[in-house]
Parts: sequence; C-alpha cells; structure tokens
Amino acid sequence: MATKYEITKHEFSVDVRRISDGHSCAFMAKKVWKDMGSTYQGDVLYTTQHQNDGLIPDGKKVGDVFIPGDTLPEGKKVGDVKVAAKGWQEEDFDWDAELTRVFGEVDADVKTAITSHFTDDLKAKYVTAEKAK
Amino acid sequence: MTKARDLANIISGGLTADDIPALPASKITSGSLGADRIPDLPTSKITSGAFADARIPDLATSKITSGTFADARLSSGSVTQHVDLTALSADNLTSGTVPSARLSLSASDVPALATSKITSGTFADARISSSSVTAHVSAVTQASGSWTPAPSNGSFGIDNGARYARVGNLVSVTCWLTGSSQGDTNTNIWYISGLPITPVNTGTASDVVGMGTAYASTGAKHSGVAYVFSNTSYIYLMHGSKIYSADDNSEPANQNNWGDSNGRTTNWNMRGWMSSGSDKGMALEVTYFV
Repeated sequence: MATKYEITKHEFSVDVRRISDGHSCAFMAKKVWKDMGSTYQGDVLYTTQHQNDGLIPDGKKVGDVFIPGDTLPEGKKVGDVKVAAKGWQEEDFDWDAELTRVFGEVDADVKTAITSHFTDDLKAKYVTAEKAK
Repeated sequence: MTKARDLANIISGGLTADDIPALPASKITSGSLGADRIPDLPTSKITSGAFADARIPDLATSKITSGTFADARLSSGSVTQHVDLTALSADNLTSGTVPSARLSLSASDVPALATSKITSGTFADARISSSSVTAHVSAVTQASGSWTPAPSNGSFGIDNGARYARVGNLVSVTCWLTGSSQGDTNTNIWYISGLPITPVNTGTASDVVGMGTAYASTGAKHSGVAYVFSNTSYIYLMHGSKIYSADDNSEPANQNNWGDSNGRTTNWNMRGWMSSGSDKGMALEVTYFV
C-alpha cells in the first residue's frame, strides 16, 4: 500500500493526495467526449462591443476582420460541415503520463491502485454514464 | 443566790450573775453585744440583707449543684482547657455548617464524584481536554494543497498557482491560468480536468454540485460561469449573453472567442484565449461539494 500518497476510490474516479504537501488530483476512469465535428466559419468582425472594451488594435476599426473565416472549398458555404461529427469517443489514459504530469513521478502503488480500480467493467459503466448525461 | 431577797432591801454591794433573772430579748434595747456574746447561728436565721464580699468564704465546686452561670462568669480558658480541638471526631459535628474558610482539602481528601453531582456552573476551557470535545463530534475533514488543472484541448500554463482547501464536505479551488497554444476548431465541449477531490455523487449525473466564476480576456465578454457536475472531476464553463441548462449542448459555440458566443464553452471558443499572450489570463475559482 502506498505510504507517500493517500488514495480514495470512488465510483468512477480515484483521488490521489500526496501526503507531504497535499497536492491532489481526482483521476477519472477514462477519457470520454462527444465529437461534435465542425462547420465552415465566416470572418469574425470587430464589433462595437470590442470597441467599447478596447479590444480593437490600432489600425483596425469596427467591421474589420477580427478572425478570418475558413477558406471555403468549391461548393461549400459558411455553415456547411467541415469535419463530420464522430459522436461519442473514448480513450484510455496513459497512467504513466498522467501521474508524471500531475505528481512528477509514477508511484508504483498509486498506479496499481488506479489500474486495479479502473477495470474494464467499471470503465464501460463510466462511458455509459457519460453518454447518458 | 442563796435566798430570796427584796430588791428594796439591797443598799450596798452588787448583784451576782446568779442574782440576774432570765431576760426576754425585748429587754435589750441599747448598747452593743460583744462578738463573744453572739452565739453560733443556723443559716436559717439569715433571711435578708447582703453579706459583704469579704464575708463570703471560698466554695467547693461540689456546692454548685443547680442553676446556670452567666456566660460572662466563665473564662475562655475555663471552657477550652479540657477540650482537645485537634482531635474532634466527625461524630461531634452533627448540625450546622462548617464555613468554607475553615475547610482546606487536599486533592486526596476529595472523593470520586458522580457526574450527576455537577449540576451548575461551567468548566473553564483549560479543564476540558480536546478529546473530550471531539469524542462525540463527527470529525471534520480538512485538507489543503495544490492541484493540477489541465485543459481537455489546447494548452495553458499555471501562472500564479492552483490551490485548494477542503473543510468538511466543501472544497474551494482557485487557479490563475494563461493560454499557451490553441486547440481544435470544433465544438467539442471544453473543460478543465484535475480537480483535487472527486465531487459528491448525488446519483444524478447532471446535478451541478459546484460553481464559481471564470474571468478571462477573450472577446467582448470576460466572465462566465464555471461549474462542476456530480461525480466528475471536471470544471465546465458557460458564457455569453445566453445561459442554458448546464448540460445543454443545443448551441455549441463555434467562435474563436469565448466572449463572442453563447452556451457551453467549446474547444473552438478557447482558441482566442489560448493564443499566447501576456494578456491571455484566466482567473478561475470554484466551490463544490464532496
């Protein structure tokens, strides 16, 4: 059992707290997201709101292009699908990378606690729960 | 007297004692009797008047058989000389109350007391141990430290620390971030992962169990709502002039700038903020339940 870290297991997550300084992170079981795709965008122009907030740089004025839109392929117009939505996506975490990013090390006990808790069955339930949101 | 004689015939000489007849006391009407002429008298004959002090003899105490001396006639020494006050038996104290000033008890003199005997007053704080206070109180969990916020898309830096504190079932997190590289131009929901403690699981995934404010320099509107769902350690943002339900994705924002669109914050929205620059900061604070 880990002695440097305090580990608390939840339904779909594991809280890891480094005892020495309290640095903590609640790791979710799996990366799950809904890919929404994208559409072709037109130019974003400077507005009076930008002006009022002082966001228009020198040399620019209201109505000028703030953010250029997409270059439209032939036959496409603004609002058409640029990248089709893929729907729900899921991906396992690389726990070595995650633990290193958060704690600067991979503590074997912590990694074991996480991987043993996040079983395939648990991850499947988590994905189902996320999709139900 | 040898023979009776007529007093008229006595012309010389005198009477002898025998010649004087017995006289009634009423005949003694003047002069004084010599002391040796007064016979012993029974005390029954003393019925009035007062003896001078010098005429009263010392009396044996055996003669004092009744009545009561006045207090003033008794000296203190007469009272105490035969009383040993250092050896009083508690049996002698059968009534009244000993003044507290006369009592000096050592700790060993105080018997064990039942708590039922403590019926008034208040113990001083110093007399109550910490464990006595907490023994019957549910422990309040406390924790504090740092956390590592991370974006679901793109990247940012942590400028001025990311801290948290937990007291009981409440956690407060803060962080000050600066966008560093842009993410994708899609409308996937953007969030920050890495909350230090998993939010409470209410049993309903769409329950918001924490919220706060994100204030960032991105577009025309600078502040948005930061919120946390039940059982998920992510922070989501919603911004703009329209506020939808926390889990509503009906208007996925597709502007580069967070402040130029409405609804839940997407990868696309954060591109403006995540383009690096010293003015691309975000101050974020959220309080949530665990």
